[in-house]
Amino acid sequence: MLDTAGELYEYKKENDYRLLFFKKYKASLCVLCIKLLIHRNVIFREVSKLDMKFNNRDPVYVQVIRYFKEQIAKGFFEPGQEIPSRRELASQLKINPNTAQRAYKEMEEQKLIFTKGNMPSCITRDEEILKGVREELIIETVDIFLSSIKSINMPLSEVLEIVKKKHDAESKGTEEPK
Amino acid sequence: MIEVKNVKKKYGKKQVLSGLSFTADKGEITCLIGINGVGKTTIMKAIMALIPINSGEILIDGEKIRKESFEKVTFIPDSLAMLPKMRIRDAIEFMADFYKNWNPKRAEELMQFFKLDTTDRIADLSKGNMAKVNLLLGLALDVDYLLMDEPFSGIDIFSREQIAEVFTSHLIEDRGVIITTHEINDIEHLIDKAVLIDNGAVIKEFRVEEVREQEGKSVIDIMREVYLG
Repeated sequence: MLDTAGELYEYKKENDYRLLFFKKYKASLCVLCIKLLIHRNVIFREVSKLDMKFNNRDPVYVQVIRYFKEQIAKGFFEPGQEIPSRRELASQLKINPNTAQRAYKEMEEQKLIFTKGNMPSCITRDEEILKGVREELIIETVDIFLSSIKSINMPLSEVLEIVKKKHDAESKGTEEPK
Repeated sequence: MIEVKNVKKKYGKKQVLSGLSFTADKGEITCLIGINGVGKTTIMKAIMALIPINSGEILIDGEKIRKESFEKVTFIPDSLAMLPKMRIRDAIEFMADFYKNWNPKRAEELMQFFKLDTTDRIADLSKGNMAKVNLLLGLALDVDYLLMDEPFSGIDIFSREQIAEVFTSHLIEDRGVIITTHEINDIEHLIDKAVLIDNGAVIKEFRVEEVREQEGKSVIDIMREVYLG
């Protein structure tokens, strides 16, 4: 609260000053904001490091490809998004650079990523392939589910009922991912 | 490429290497695996011509080791070979005086990466930090081949992770590395090739990704088969 007239005057003066400042430096402020955004984006890119655990029996490069597919299906990697260089990927995932190279080569052959000349590699924009990735992962998960539910010998309708209930309960608790 | 061909070595009456052969390519990490006393360190010393061999041949890029080869290949022993009285910066200076291909920029980078202090005296360093200094002195040389003897032994988990990180960085890239270990877990995902050794000879040499792909086996699975099966 402002008590005295003197304080009020000071307050007004200060605010006017701010307004004046804003008017005068509007353009440069805008530039600054944009710069800040770019800067933050860069930081964001560095913070959002890839993280995955490997098992010892599957080839590492296969595990890397699977991880990329999961990230694409999840929407973490968007169509056309730039991905880390081979060297960056190796140090982020703590794998051999030769393995990172192999994974990228394989993904290029599967047309999951593309590289133009000396530019960094990017995630494909091909809708068909992206859809395929999603389907592939879903089918794989369903297969695992089916093979583990098989031993319980439960009618499918009952299983689906439970799945639906569980799913509804969970999606109420958490927001649907975009 | 480093080629070790049918190398035999005796210490007195004891046959340490009995016709050992393997190759290690440039740009790849080759891991010599075996329990204590199978001759891992002896091979490293033989490659560096620190000990004479009784028979066989060792070639580096098709040549026998000469004085000039020591600018091309370096050995990081399992303990630091610097005077305890020295400070880290003295050790660095010593290396810079001794080797033409000492890379001061990379040494600086490694100092920061390992968070070491140049004024620390070597005698006062913890075991883990001593291992890091040891690695630093080897890695800061612009050599094509690096031989590392047990870089992980007796080192805490976080320092181990830090050392393992070196292998995935540009510090190692494009160089040929031969590393010995009996703790494969730390670097299973990092190596290109494993060479299993027993009784002074190679019992199996394989590319780890190939074995995972074709047989679905981990390095430890293979070791179990070879050593216990």
